[in-house]
Amino acid sequence: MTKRRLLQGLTTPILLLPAALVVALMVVIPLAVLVWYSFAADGPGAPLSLDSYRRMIASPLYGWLALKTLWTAGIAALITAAIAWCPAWALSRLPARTRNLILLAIVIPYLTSYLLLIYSIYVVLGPGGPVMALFRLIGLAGTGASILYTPTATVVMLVYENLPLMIFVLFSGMQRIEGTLLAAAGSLGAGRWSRIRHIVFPMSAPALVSGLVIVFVPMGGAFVESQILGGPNGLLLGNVIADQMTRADDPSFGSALSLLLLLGTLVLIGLVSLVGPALERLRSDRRTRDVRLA
Amino acid sequence: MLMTRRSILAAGALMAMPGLARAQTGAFKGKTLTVASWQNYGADDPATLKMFTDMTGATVKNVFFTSEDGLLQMLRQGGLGQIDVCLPNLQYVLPGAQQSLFAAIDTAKVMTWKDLEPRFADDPSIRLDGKVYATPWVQGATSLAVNPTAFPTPPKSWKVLWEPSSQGKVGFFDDPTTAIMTAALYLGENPQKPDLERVRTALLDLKKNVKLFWSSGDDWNKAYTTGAITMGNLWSGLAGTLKTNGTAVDFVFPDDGTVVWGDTWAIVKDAPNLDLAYAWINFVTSPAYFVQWITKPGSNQQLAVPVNQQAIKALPQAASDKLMAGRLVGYRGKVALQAGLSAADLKRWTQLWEEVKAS
Repeated sequence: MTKRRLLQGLTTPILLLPAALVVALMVVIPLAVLVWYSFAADGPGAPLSLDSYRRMIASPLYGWLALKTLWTAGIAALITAAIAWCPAWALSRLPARTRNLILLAIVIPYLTSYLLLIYSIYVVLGPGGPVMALFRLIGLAGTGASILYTPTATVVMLVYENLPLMIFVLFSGMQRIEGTLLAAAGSLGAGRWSRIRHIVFPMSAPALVSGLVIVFVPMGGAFVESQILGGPNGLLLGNVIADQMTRADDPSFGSALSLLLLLGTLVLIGLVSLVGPALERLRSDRRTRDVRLA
Repeated sequence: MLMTRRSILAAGALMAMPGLARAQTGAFKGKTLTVASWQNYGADDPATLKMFTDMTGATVKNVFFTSEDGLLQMLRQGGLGQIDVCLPNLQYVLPGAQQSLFAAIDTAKVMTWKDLEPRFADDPSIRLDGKVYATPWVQGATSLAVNPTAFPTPPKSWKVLWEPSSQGKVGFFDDPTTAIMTAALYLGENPQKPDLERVRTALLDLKKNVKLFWSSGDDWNKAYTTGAITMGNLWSGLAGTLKTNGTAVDFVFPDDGTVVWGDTWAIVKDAPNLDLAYAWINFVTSPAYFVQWITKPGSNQQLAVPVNQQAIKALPQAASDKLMAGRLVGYRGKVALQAGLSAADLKRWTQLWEEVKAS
């Protein structure tokens, strides 16, 4: 009996062990190396120093670039969510067979090399591409104009790359919303907009927050997109980090910048994660107040 | 068939190879030479590798790096004693030698040494403490390219990139040494030791006109052929290829000077096959090798001009024109050779360039 209880007690740690090892190998150790490198300005064998951090703080450039990067990623993540929300909701209400076919179509760009995606967007956004043709038609752009080589092109690319992921995350959350709940709300007189506002949106909010976090992280670290499409003013912190790690052969400064980006990303994710529960508390307080008033 | 001076030389060079092969086949049979290079850049071309195997009996194992720093890192982290020869850019020879990653080269064992362009063979940046650490291999210019429709009379100075009328029309190579040397030439400064604050101001001014910082030939091609840019700095080999393929482009060696790069072969310290490494360097710097690489279909064969003057002579005229070899070798203006920077200077220049781009 005791043996069985002991085994039962060990089951969870044993099952968690492979994942814990993977996390240790792929996250904790690389992160520790990154921190160590950031203090090894004179090389891995030399005494530790704060030189890389001093250099980072000495120039306002890097703080500004970090903010610009987080702003770009944040805007791109919000646009992605705004575009993905409706298709994800529609998908969650479709019959399984049709839904699976559409999901398959959505997943194809996600499985395609991001370089191919970048070059396909290049054609779409180019002066002779369909987007600029449409803008010209409605008088928003002149001949030969293009949003290529601007920070806007980078945002468009980030949205395009991450849209399938956002749709999947939202879809998986929305799929759990029972049709009967909506039918019940309808039978009690709630209109379509009211049902979306009071049932669908609050119930899909956790998925929305998860989706925002999941797409925001890779967007914050993007650098190839801005390198190819972003033009002279499209540089992001990821580009500087990549250059420091390769061309400048300064892994210490690159590591310090990476940690700055990581810190900024964590702070923003923390803020976003607080929004969902805060909204839920607000709604709960209002409901309680309404019930009391009634 | 019309026999030209070039084709006779090429044939002669090829005929000379079997003799060398017979002399060396026995010595290297069964050995494997480990070569560190860029992918698709002459050292991994199957046809040329077959030539080397036929010649020496040895096989080649390719290992690839994706940046010059990556090469030095590869050597530092276990490459010594494993890799025989590697392909550093001219400006990385000195840092590599200073870090004791390369072995000194006995130029008497490099049969092509006497034919190498003196500009490279005599360059101090391949030397440390009186010893030679690399054999110059290929070269190219990163010079001014303009669209002839926009410029019926080609400009003669880098100044054109800084003109207010050039706003939003410039494609500029995203490379610190090229950028700083180009700005130094424009300012009339010494490109090897410019006043970095003047250069910074000039590059910040230039940035206002830049549409694209390009980092690959494909970046340039797309922007140029769609009309997004009409001028900029460009590799000579790429300009020649564009012209040959029917794209209208004028490639200018400005009066204020041009930037020239070079790639070299170095023997790695503690190379397991030292004699075979020399055989490789003799092979890849030979006219026969260049005729094979540059004239037969393959990757990137149109980008680089041999440093071996006999190899240039051996090339068919069309191939030589495509590379702009004659114009490059014959250029007598000011040359900013991308070489000789200390590791500290290279870091400082890279930092400056990053700051300009981020501003």
